[in-house]
Amino acid sequence: MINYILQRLLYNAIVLLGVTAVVFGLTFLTGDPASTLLPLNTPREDIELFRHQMGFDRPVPIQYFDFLSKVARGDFGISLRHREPALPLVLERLPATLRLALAGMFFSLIIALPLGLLAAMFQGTWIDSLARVLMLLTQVVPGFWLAIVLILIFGVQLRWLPVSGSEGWQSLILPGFVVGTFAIPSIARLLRSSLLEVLGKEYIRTAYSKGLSGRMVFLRHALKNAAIPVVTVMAFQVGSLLGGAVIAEVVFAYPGMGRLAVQAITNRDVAVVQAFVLLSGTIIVTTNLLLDILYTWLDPRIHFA
Amino acid sequence: MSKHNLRASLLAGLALVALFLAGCAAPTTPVPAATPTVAAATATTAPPPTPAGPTGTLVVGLAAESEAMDPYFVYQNAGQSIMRAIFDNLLDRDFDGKIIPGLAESWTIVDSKTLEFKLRKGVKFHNGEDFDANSVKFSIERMLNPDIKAGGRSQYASIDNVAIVDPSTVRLNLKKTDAALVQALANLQMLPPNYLKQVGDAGFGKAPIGTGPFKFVEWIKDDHTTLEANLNYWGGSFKGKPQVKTVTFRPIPEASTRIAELKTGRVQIIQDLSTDQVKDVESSGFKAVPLDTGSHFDIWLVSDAGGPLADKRVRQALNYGVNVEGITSALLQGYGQRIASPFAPGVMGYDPSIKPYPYNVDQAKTLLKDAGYANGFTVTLDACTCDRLDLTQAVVGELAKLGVKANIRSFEISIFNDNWIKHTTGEMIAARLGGAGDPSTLLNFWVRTKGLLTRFSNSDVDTLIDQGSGTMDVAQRTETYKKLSQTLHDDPPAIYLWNSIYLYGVSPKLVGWKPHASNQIIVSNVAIK
Repeated sequence: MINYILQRLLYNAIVLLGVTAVVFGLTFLTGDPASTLLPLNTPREDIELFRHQMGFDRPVPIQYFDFLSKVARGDFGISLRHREPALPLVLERLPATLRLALAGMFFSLIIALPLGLLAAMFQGTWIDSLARVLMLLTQVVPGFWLAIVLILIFGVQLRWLPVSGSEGWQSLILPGFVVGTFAIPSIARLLRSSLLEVLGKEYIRTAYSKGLSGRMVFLRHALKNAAIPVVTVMAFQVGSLLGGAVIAEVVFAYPGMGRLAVQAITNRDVAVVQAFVLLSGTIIVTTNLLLDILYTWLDPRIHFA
Repeated sequence: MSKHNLRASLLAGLALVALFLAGCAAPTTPVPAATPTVAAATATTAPPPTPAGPTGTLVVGLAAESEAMDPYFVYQNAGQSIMRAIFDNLLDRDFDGKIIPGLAESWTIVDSKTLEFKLRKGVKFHNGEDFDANSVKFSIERMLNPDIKAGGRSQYASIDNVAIVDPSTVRLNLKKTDAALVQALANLQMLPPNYLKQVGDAGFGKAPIGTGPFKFVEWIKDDHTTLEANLNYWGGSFKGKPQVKTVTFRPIPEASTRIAELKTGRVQIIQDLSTDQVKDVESSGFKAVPLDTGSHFDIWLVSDAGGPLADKRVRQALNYGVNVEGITSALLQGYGQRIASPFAPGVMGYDPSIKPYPYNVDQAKTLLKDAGYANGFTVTLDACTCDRLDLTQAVVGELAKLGVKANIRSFEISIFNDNWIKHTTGEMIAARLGGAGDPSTLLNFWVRTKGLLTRFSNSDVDTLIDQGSGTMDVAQRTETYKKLSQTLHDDPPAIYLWNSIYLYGVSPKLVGWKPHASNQIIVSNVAIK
């Protein structure tokens, strides 16, 4: 077990190293970082001085290793806009984003699970067709558009929910729903197909032949076994939930780290963007690690190899 | 996120940079005429009738979050609106952009290198600290302190030292004549020295204290800033006394969400409405209020360095040949007036007697023929992806009617700017210019021969620019700039298009609110029905 976890940790470290290379490359993405970071009217000699002070005149690999060693100590540099260290700026908004992502997960599960279940139980009937159309809809409707429509219906017309801001749990409903729709189609579809697969297995027939009721067979035998791939895909959805949070936070003026990142991108606040990307990467990688460990509990066939 | 936000945030923090391309960035304020010595301000607007003391809560929907709560680090109009409520400036601007007294009740140009300010007596900071000559000296020295790294510092660089004559008189001794300094002092917030020394810079940024009409209560980043009425606010400020008990500023980056909040009644004023949203807002019973004295404008810079554009007649022809009114009425819902020169309304030197080029295709074709380009020519036009492509294409379409084919090259903003600085653009650049206080800064930047962004040279223009920045006498400068405006009209370094309009969505329940020339939202003197 220990060996297995250590091995996974090593893999994850390699993945994160790749992320740091991408994040580092961001600095150079829009040309000379000095001209990106300095005002347009900066005199040439000041630009050169700045390049030297920031170390932009050193070879790129050396700059990268310097960047790595600072990042390892949590030092992403100072935000241009906020004049504060970049990482704490992102971290202080993380809890709000996690709350939103959890709300998103909640909405995606309470919608996707019944959808997938119903579609599988009533395979080939109109219920199945309807469920599949709904899955398709959640996939094709753009989050941005959905957010505005929800605001107009529930915020402006019905006045049931706050349009924007963060004033307690009510403020999580609309953005949470929007974030959730990003994960609905894959969870629902996978649950449907994996249930259908399991329902055809011999042990299900055995269960029936033991005289168990249909519901019992479905819940105890089919659902438990169909859950494994669903759990996998749910963990992968952490990425889409975080991505969805970026859109939802901007539209709903919700104070999370996604909105900070969007603001940082438009301000060319590279340090904040780097901290955000690397933090998001770390969250996704860590969730996958936890998932790998969870597997071994869910499915004894998977060994710590 | 609106176009304005995108571009506004682009170079936030760098006051001078916001000169161009930045619709609402930086302490951009129109440049009005002022006289060297000005008597005490008179309240220009009648305050709404008040019951016993301020009541109610006003909520303002800003397009962006404030960068900070320390005014020396706030650059965009969104945050500056909050600063206007908490702080007062040494000098100020009235709603039309004219320089007026602020915490200094009058000022005198002693000589070309000395300015003297008489300060208002009896003004107190929110913590009870007295405002006096020491506060002015402290504030200016803090702005100039290189360790503080305030973004606006370069605007005050001509100040050599601040001398306290007596508790209510200060003298600024300058290193050199600085025509733009008076404008800059109208952006300078006055800070409480004792409080700042006691809490330090970081502490001040968490709990700012000024002399303004509202007191700071709390700042929840990206969510809201709450202020409460300062019942002891000094009388006579153009801003007027607070009429509401509480003001909340909420940053709401998405324009449709701001409008939705206006409609629900949870927000009473919103910033940055786009022209195509006016109908929606008005049909729901809300007001769309335009600020039409803004100092930004859209123009297409043309290079006179070789080729057809070197000929003045060709540049005039391009100005005759674009149906600006047609474009503004079709694509800007009628907002935006055609400008005659870079001196837009609200800029020192604006002369209404200089009329914009009329739309006259025949005249344009004749001029092109005279210059030897009867069959037109082809140029390359640089555009920024942050701008509206439909507007650019509309102007390109107009030029095509003259036989002038402009090939559009679209660039992401940093590359667009970079090309501009490095002079690697096409012969034409679609740009937005303006703002940032004094006209001299902007003129040196893109009109004066060999300016950082200049594509043009005219020795008369250079002489007039030097004359304009060689004195602090505002009347003299205004005259010089009027002459310059005429010269730049006749020998155009650009195709003059329209001045930018800022729009606000306002609840009918608000009484007494009007836009300020700076595009910052003033929340005092506003009541809720």
